[in-house]
Amino acid sequence: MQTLEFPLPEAANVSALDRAMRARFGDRISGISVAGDVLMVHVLEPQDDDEDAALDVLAAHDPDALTPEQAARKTADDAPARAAAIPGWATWDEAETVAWIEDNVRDLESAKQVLIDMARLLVALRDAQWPGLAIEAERVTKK
Amino acid sequence: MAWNAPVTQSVGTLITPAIWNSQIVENLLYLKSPPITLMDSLQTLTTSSSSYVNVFETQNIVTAAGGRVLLMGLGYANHNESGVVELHLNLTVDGVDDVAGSDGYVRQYLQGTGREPFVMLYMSDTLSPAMHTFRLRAKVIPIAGTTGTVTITTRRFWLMEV
Repeated sequence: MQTLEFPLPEAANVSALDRAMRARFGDRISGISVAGDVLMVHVLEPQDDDEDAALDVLAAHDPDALTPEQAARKTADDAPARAAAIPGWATWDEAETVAWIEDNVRDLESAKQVLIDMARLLVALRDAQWPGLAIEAERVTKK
Repeated sequence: MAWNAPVTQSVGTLITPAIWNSQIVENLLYLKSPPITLMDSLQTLTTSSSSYVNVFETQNIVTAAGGRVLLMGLGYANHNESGVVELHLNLTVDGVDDVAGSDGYVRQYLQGTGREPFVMLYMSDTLSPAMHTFRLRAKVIPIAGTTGTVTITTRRFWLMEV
């Protein structure tokens, strides 16, 4: 294995760099490492243009662009705030929830509003409980 | 303080100051303070490598008695993304990489963005009196297709001749 070393960009998203290097090198790298301000690319099957290829990836690196896993984690972290923003649902107990529905669901339009609020709550719960679910579903679909 | 191989004395042998100092004084001093390398506040390593890489640079110990070396490393590891990966920790001893084979001495599942502690204890074979090199190494194996980086923080690493 050959390890190529580069200065780590000041603002780096190491997980995104890992993803980008794997996209560029495929199975020819075992991964990357960061120690202090040094970025290491671990090349299993070295080729002449590996250093240039890694520099290309570094030049194109956008530290603000999240990996799918990081985006899912951010969505999960936001979930409690989204649930709290649904009027009533953050504080009602069971009796209060039933009473509110009985008092307010009078026609299709009001029923639709309750369903929307419940759907928002379900989505927030899903995001918090299974942050990687969409990624896993995509992986299963690809298989 | 070097270790002096004990010599069996015969009846009637005169214990001279040289013998006393070499056999008793120096060996007692060695036993009280054997060679030790003690490291703390080591640099962290973030890695996604599925092949073993060095966690930190070479650590050396100069052994004096031709004995074994007891090693301890402890710290914690963070998985930086969702999903599950398996962290493997291994050793290089005197240029021989990954002495525990592919699986390593420590295997640790890291779930979600969790943090888990690790401790590694290792005793070497008998080594000659000389400088010996030890390195802690790590690799990250994705579970069920999950990739991601792991940050390994080594809080203590020490070597002691025993």
